[in-house]
Amino acid sequence: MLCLHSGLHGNPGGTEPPRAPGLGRPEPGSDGIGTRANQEKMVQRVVKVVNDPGIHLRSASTFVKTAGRFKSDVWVMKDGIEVNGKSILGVISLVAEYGSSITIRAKGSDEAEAVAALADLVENRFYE
Amino acid sequence: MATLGPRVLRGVAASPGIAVGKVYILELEELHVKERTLSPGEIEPELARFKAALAATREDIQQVKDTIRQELGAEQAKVFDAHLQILDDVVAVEETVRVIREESKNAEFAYRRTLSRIAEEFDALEEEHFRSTAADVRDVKRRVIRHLLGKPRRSLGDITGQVVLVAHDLTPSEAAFLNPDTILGIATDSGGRTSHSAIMARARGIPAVVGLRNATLHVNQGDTLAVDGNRGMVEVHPDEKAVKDYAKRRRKFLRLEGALLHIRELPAVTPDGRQIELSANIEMPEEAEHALERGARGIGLFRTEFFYMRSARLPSEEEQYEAYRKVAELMHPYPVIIRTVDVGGDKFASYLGTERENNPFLGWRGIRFSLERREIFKIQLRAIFRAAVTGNVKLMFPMVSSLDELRQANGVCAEVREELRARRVPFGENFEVGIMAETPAAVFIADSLAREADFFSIGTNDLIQYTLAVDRGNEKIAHLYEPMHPAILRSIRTLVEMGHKHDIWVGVCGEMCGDPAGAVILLGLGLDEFSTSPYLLPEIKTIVRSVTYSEAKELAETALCLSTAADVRDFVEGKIASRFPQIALP
Repeated sequence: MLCLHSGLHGNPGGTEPPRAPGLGRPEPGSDGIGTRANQEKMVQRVVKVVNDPGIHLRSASTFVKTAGRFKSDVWVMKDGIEVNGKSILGVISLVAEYGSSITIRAKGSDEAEAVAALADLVENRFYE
Repeated sequence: MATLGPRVLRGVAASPGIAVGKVYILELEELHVKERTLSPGEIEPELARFKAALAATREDIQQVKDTIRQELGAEQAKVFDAHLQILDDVVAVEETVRVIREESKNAEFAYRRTLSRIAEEFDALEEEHFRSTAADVRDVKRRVIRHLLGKPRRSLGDITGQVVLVAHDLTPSEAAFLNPDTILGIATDSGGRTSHSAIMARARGIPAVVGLRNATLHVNQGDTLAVDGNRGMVEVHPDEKAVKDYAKRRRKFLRLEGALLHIRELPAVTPDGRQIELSANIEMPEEAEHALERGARGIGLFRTEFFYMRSARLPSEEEQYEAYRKVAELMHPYPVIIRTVDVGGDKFASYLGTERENNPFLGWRGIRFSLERREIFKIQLRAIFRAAVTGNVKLMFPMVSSLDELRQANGVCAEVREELRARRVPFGENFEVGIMAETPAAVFIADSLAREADFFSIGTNDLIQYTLAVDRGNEKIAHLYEPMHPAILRSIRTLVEMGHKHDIWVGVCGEMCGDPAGAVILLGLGLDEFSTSPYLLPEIKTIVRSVTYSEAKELAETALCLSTAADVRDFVEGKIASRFPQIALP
């Protein structure tokens, strides 16, 4: 079974398992710095999903398009599962329904702007 | 075999119009992908081939997107933005590249496996809106693989001549290429009025019936199929006379459509001055706009099941409020009658505790469910009460079969009012609360119900099913489902008489008013309101404007004296043919 989420695969150290298309697993990046260490420096915000029925195909499309405008890496987390914020399939796979809370994180030169723009988008129902 | 199956199938009227033609079954295209192991030297060229296929597909989708944007606006084109993003999804592309590079597999195999697995993950989701992504992933997958296989032709492009398209469902890409010159009509197993294919069919003026469940099983390639997109029916192998009748209906429909802008502004009033409230039944908030476009002066039945069926969780008060408010504001000052949820029957959901029952239509459904699950009921009532602040909202309970149920439901309403008042939440104070009259019990106790309800809306579909004890979905007895049965006419007369005696209005929100004979009888029986599919509104308004109330009343009185359904139908149709030939349904 392939897995769309980061929580269920990825095996740092040891033998590399057959890698699956983790739909937006937060890649540690080529600098080799572990995700955990990065987290402390990252900008993040928790936002509530207020559009109905949630972040599905169209709203995810808007989200990913916006995320793509920034240089920073972007991740979205819900219920302990984290996906690449620039992968539409990853974002939809979170099943971020109306009323749920998600955490948006970014890391990079424009991380603050990225998080602010994406949080604004979610809070304003994707301006639909 | 089609010849042994039912001749008439019922689904959802998704795009108005009538069509008859030869069936073209759009099979899911078989794309044969062979697994091949590459030699080391082949890997780089294979990656280049994959990238080229992505680029070619990108161009395709972009083209479709531009076409749709010009034709339907940016809103409808958005789905193709999402397809472009699925195409370029970093994880999907990287995984395919990895399989090519590390497992030395050919591009079509690598891409198909990757996307199929992703689609399967979406298939497994419980929430409909999120699960539907699987279809989009597969749509993109097929496009890319077609390019890799060197056959980028779209399957719909193969159609020559004029056909009626029958499919399980249409992908957005397929729907985008619906050409009214070749596609006369559409019939699909799945989908609803707001699905992509329905939207496209309406935009291109192609009659469509969707949600037929198993049309693809009942018809064969080349069969003759009639599609009635106004009534949501298809007929397999219509005989020569039926084909002629459909052609006449089609001409009549086109005539009415041509005059729609004119007709929709006219009042629904008989030549001798009786005014009928003409409103529309809707299932989704988005449909209210259609209703207005086609001249509805209100929503006579706003079904609310979709909130509960579309995902595996309870809809919140806020999201329901938003939807009700939107419709109420759009329709203002015309009324919107919101029916509290009618789950059970053929609509069940495990999270609600409703399940398949041995006798579902006599089971735990409608108001019976709501009174038992008061916490769910109250959430919905709060949302409706709040929406009543901004619009002309009315509330209706389904499946009432005793006065106790109406009293209990009214009691819950009183509690909800108190709670909202205590919380200082604004809500509409004085709006009508009525019942859907659809059980024989409600007919027999109509006098006591009329004292405590503000209106009756007769749901003819269920009233007929319960009164005649006929399940019209059962092919063997479907012919016994007869709106002209004297028992039905007498039941309706009783409801109207009892309602009017107690000064409440009585409407009808079933399919019976969508047929000229039915509409004339209902007019004559004294109904105050007709609510029907938005697509039938122009036709029904023409009927109301052609038939005098006095003649309809006389006709209904005579019909009530006849003893069989066949006699009633012959009489009414004969009268219509001689007195009002312009409204007769061929």
